[in-house]
Order: sequence, then C-alpha cells, then structure tokens
Amino acid sequence: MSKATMVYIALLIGLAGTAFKVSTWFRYSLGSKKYAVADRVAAAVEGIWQTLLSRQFFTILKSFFFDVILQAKLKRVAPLRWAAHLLIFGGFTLLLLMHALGVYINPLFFSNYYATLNPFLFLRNFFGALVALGLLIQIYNRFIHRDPVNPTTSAMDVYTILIFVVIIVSGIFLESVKITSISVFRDMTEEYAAGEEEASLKALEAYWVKNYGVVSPELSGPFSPEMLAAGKTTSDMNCAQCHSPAQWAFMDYGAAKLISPVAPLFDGAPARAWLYWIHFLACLFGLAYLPFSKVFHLITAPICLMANSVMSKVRSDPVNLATKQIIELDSCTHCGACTRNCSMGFFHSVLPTQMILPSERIGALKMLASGKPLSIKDSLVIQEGYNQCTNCTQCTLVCPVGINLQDLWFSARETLAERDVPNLLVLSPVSIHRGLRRDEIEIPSYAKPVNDARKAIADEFGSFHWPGAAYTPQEEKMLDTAGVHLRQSAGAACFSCMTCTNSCPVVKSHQSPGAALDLLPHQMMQAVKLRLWDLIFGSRMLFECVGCYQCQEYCPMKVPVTDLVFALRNVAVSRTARNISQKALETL
Amino acid sequence: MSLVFFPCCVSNSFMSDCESANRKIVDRLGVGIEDFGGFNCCGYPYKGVDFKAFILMSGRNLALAEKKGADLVTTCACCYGTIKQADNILKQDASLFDYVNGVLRREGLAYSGNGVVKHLIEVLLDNPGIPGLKAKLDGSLLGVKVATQYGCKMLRPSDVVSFDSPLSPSKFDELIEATGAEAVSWTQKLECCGAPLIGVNDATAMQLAKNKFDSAREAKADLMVTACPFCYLQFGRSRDALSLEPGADYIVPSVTIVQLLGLALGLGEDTLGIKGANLPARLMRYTHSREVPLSA
Repeated sequence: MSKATMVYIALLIGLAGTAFKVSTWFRYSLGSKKYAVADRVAAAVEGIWQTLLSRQFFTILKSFFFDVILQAKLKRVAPLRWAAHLLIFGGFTLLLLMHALGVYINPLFFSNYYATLNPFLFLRNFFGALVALGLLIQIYNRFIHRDPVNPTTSAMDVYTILIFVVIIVSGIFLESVKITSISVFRDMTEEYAAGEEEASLKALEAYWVKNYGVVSPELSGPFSPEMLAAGKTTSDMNCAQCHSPAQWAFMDYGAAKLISPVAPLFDGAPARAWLYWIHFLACLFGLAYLPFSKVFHLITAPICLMANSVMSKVRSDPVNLATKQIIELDSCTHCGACTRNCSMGFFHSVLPTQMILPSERIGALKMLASGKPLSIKDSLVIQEGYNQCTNCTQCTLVCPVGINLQDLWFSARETLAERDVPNLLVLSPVSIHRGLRRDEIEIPSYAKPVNDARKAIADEFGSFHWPGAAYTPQEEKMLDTAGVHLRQSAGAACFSCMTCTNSCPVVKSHQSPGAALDLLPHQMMQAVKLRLWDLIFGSRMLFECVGCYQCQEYCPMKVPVTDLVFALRNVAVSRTARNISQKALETL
Repeated sequence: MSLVFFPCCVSNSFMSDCESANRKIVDRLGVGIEDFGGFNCCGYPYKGVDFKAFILMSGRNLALAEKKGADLVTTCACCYGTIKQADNILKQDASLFDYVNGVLRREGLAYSGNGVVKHLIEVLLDNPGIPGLKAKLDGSLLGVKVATQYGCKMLRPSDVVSFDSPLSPSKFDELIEATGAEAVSWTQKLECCGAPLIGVNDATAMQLAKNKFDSAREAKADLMVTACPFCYLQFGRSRDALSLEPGADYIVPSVTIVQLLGLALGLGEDTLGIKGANLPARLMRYTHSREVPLSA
C-alpha cells in the first residue's frame, strides 16, 4: 500500500467520524423539549443562512478573530494555558503546512524549496520547538501544577498530550539518527561526490564529522586544520548547495549530539524506517481518530465560540439552542477551568463524588444526551453532584471554548427529572432557578419533579405511627444543632394561640387553608408536641412554608416555629433520601 | 474595616447587568468595595435540605472574609439573613463550629467568629450617610412614590438579624428618601414576596405577589423598590403573568435598590438591566439619564 493511499484512508476515516459526530449534533438532545431530527437540521440551515446574511455576520467575523484565532477568553482565564495553546496550535499548523505538506505548499511561495536548506531547515526545528515548549507547559499544567480543586486526568487527556509528544519526539529522533548516520553520509557521497579522490572523500568525512554531527566508525577528531580545510573545499563544491549547516536544525542537532555515543546502533535503514513509520503512522492515527478524541475541539470550539457570539435565549430558535448544546458537549477539552473556578469545588472534600466538579459532569452529560439507559445508582450519583450546583454562573464565565455550562446543567437536570428517581432538592429554593425558566420546560414535565418528591416523602412517612422510631440520635442532633430544642421548647411552650397561623402569608393566601395545607402552623406545633410524625411529614404545609419568619417573630412564647419547620424538613429529606438510595442499591 | 462584595448566585444568573452596575454605583458614591472571586453560595437554598451544608457554605464565606480582613457586602436580603443566621448558629454551637473548621482546614482556612456581613443599605447609610447621599444624589427622584420591599430576611428573625425594627422598619425608607423619592406606607410592607415558592408552588407564589401589587397600588406607589433580587425577580415574573389577565392595569413596576440608585445617579437603563421595565414617565422625568431614551 502506498503512503498516499494510507493518507487517504486516514482522511476518510476522519471524515466519516466527523460525519458521524455531526449527525449526533442533530440526533442527541438534553432537556425536556424534544425536536425531530429533520426540524433541527432545517432550523440550523435557516439560522445559519439568516445570520450570514445579516449584520451579525460581522459579529461572527470579530468573534473568529478574537475568540478563535487569538483565544481572548483563554488568555483572560488562564494566561499560561493560553500561551501553551497558542504554541501548540501555531507550531503544529505551520509544521503541517511547511513540513507535512511542504512539498506541495512551499513551492507555491518559495522558488528554492529544499527541506535541508535554510530557512526551511531552521524553521522546521523552530516550529517543532514551539510545539515542544507548549507541550511541556501542558504537561506541567496537567500533571504538576495543583489548584485547590483540580479536574481529574482522563485517558483522553493523556492520549492528547501523548499523540503530540510521539509525533514531535519521533520526528526529532528520526532526524538526529539521519544526521549521525555514516551510511546515509556514504550514500550521499556516492551519489553527489562520486568523482572525488579517496583522500578528499576522507577529508570530507572528517569535515562532516567535525561540523555536521556525522558519527564515523573510522574517523574521530581531533583533525588537522589542513584536513578540515580540504574537507571544506570538497563540501563547498559538492554538498553546501543543498545542505545548510546542521546546527541550524538545533533540536535535531542537539539530539544527534546526545545519541552520538550510541549512534552506530541506529545506523542502518531498518532503524530509520522504524522511526519514520512511527512518525508517519502517529500522524495518520491522530488524523483518523481526531473526531473521537478531544482534538476534535479544533472543529467544534470555533463553531461554539462563533455561535455563542450571536446566539441567545431571546434571539435564537430554541431548536437551534438545543442543537448547540450537543456541539458544546463535543467542544469540551476537559481543561478544568470550570472546576478550578467552581464556587462549590471546595465541597468535593465533604462529598467526594466527581459529579460535583463541572468538568467531570460532561462525560455523564454525553451519556444523558445520547439517551443511553442509566442505572438508578448512576442517576443518583449524577443527581447528587448536580444538587450541589448553586447556578452561580462562574463556570460559564470562565469556559475558554465558550460553552454555556449553566444552560447545560439546566437541561441535564430536566433530563434527569424525567427518570424515575425523585430528587428532593426540588422542594427547596433551588427550584427558583427552574421556576424562573419555566418557559423552557415542557408543561407536563414541569410539575413532575415536585410531585415525585412530595410523593416520595409522603410514602416514606405514611405508615409511620410509632413515635419511638421517629428520630435517630443523629437526626435528633441535627434538630438540636438547628437551635431548636424540640421537646423542651416547642412542645412545652406552645399554647395554640394561633398567632403563627394568623401571621402566616401562605395561610392567608388560601381560601380554605386547612384543606390546602393539611396542617396549619399552630396545628403543626401541636402535632410536634404529640409526636404525630406521619401527619407532619405528610402535610403540604411543611414544604409550602416560605420561611418568612413572621410566625417565629410574633410568637408570644418565643417558639422558633420557622426554624422548627426547617429542621423538620431536614429530617424528612434526609430520611427519604436514605430510603431512595437504599432502594436503588437493592435493585442492583 | 475594608469591604468586599459578596455576589449573589441568583443575581448572577438572572440579572447580570444589575450585578455589574453595583460597581459603578458604589464608585460614583465614593464607597470603596473590593471584588473577590472566591466566594461560594451563601447556603440559603440548602437550609431546609441539608442543614450542615448550609452552615458550612456560610461559614466558608465568613472565613474568607475574615482572612481578607473585610466585611462582606451584599445586595441580597436572603444572602444577608442567611449568613447572619449561620454566623449566629456557629457562635452558639461548638460541634458545628468544629465541623466547619475541620472542613475549612483542608483548604487552609479557619473561622474564628469575627466575620461580618452587611447589606449595601447599611453600608451606604454609614458612609456616605444620609447627608452625603443627599448631596450626591441631588434629590433627583423628587416626588416619586416608592413602596419599599425590605425582604423577610432583612428583618426577621430580629434577634438574629437586628438590622431594623421588625415591626416598623425605617432604614431602607430613609435611604430611599435621600434620593428625593417619598417612601409610602403600605400594608404589605413586612410580608413575604412569595419567591421561595417559585418552582415549588407557583400558584401560591403568584398569590403572594398579587397581594403585594394590590397593596402598593392602594398606597398609590409609583414604584416598588426591593432590597433583594429574589423579590425583584418574583415581582417581574408575576407581573408578566398577571398582566395577561383581564383588567390588569394596576401592576406597579419594580426595581432593586441598586437600580434605583443607578437611576438617581443618571446611569442608563441598559447599564442597569431595566430596559423594558415600563417605569412611569414621571419617574424618568427626574432622572439625569436623558442621553438614553427611556420608554415610558
């Protein structure tokens, strides 16, 4: 198989992979709203067409220049990472153009293209050095530098660094072997200096050993000045037109000096062939595997950055926003900027689930988006992580590829809510976020999580009649630490004057509050006194309280009514949550 | 004591314009408040779900403030009340105090109980103070009738918050009057806006907001001004829904205290994130922001 065929095969695999990935952008979805694939494609085409014909085109151009080429956002968030990215991206692109495709591209711009002549000889090394420096910074960032909270290092992260390292190192090593090789030197002299005499060939070899890094088994320095002068004359006549001094290839030459003691071991066609194939195949593998690796962000990140420069919830078709979310999932480079800046990152030390860390959620999100079945346990683990997210928007502000993570979390929560694992957090003010974005949720899906959570709690306490079993010592402690001394204070002091009930805005908002809320505040205090836990935890009042503290403020007996409600909620939630996860474990 | 802004998650999510206007307003009023990116949520949403998490979250913010040697300044009544209450609980409960410090130690933090949280209203009343504010604001909102929405956690539980009298608070009203506006007395002044029930029971949340609108209209208020983004968002959302109902001509517009001060200082409505808030023409007539055309 010829090398050209191999390149075309790799390219084809890469293109097929890209086509597959692009198809997932229209097939996968997050959130409660679902759209047909055809509608999504049509909406995307229409959206792109309209945008390109409008003034927004200039916004996209601006974004392409600043966000994509100059990486303005990354520079602001992580200057070191930005430098590394620019070095690798810039260096590798130039290597691709002037080295890999050099035979085709260079002659278009230069009349005297020879890979072994300057400036090409030097530039190849210079670009390689840029990439190498960038890789060193990335290795430092990934494996050595530690922030208070760090993203994990996945196999994909290692692969991405490794594929570049292999390409660069094999390239340098191949060149250094060629520099030191005496057989290459002799082949060349046979071809280009065949007419020279034995003595001048020897002088030439000495000159090349001295100045070009060739390692000769017969000749080693020091050489006499006359011999070197003679060698120089021969070299100038036969070699110099096509060979700039090897030192200009500073990395190759440096590596050649390093391996010179063992150079004879690598001399010979097989070693060079091996190195060449490693270099060549690593490039082809990188190309073929590109759509499935995180190097794919090369394509998705610019789309994401430019799309986000013109798309917004107000302006854009919701169908296109849904499609954009899947492209965003493909754009994530797992750089960890979100995790390093997550305001809840510190909580990872309390609840050691990776799902707290935004960068680690993307993998789970891809699974959710693809619609693959998740076990109850997996759902619970993801849910637990999401429940610690307070929607502070910090992650979205720092994402270098401009992913709207905030919106991704929102959609993911809605996708999770459709699965049959109740999430009790929806009964807390975290739901405000959801309520304020109600328009983005399908109507039947909107009420489901709250109803599920209420039902889970009612079920948990429905058969709870034996008061002795009400609290574990831990739960009692929790109530105590809430500043609520349940039995001594609330139980003893309340004499049902109904001040709490009469001051309650929720009670006042209902025409028949008793029926709507099950227990009125003063009744709840009495129920606590009588330890009627099933009544309390099954009552609507418990989770309808707004926590305005009027009852507590106005209570003549200083009963901490509101604090008590919060403490009771804690017990209701912790008990029910424990039961839910127990059931989940049983189903495994 | 220096001051540091404590950002509110909900403001960041839904009113980022207003959040960034904070900076401009305090700069114009000559109040030095630093920015710091390391805070976490105050813990308010977790109070009824995971009590320890709530205390830990507030405790961490207090520890960060203590480390910086600065008082926390918030524009959110819920953040304000929550952190104050957590601080109060931490001071009374040794085991929780130890728990919080045990977790904080892992990231080299410690809380010794000297954290202070202030609402922007408190900060402004202290410096530049009413006379200073009057000089800087120039009475530009003269004659505008304002219903002040303190927010529950600004006032209650009063033994924990002790911001103002829980029965007849006046500090916010004094600040409003420094702009030249008139703080009206309204029956629903102390009541809850209903925001905590958004997403849990939207009907009740809406009813509570409606009570507020009715009362503000009865008091002939031109405007409701909130000291809390939750109240602001709840009013905005309820107004959108209620205005679809027949005969909905009574719905009083609302702004946050930051936005009102911004208007009084002549900031544009784009800057303040109140574009399309349908503020009354008579309010606009008195503002400096003539360079930005305002919708009446």
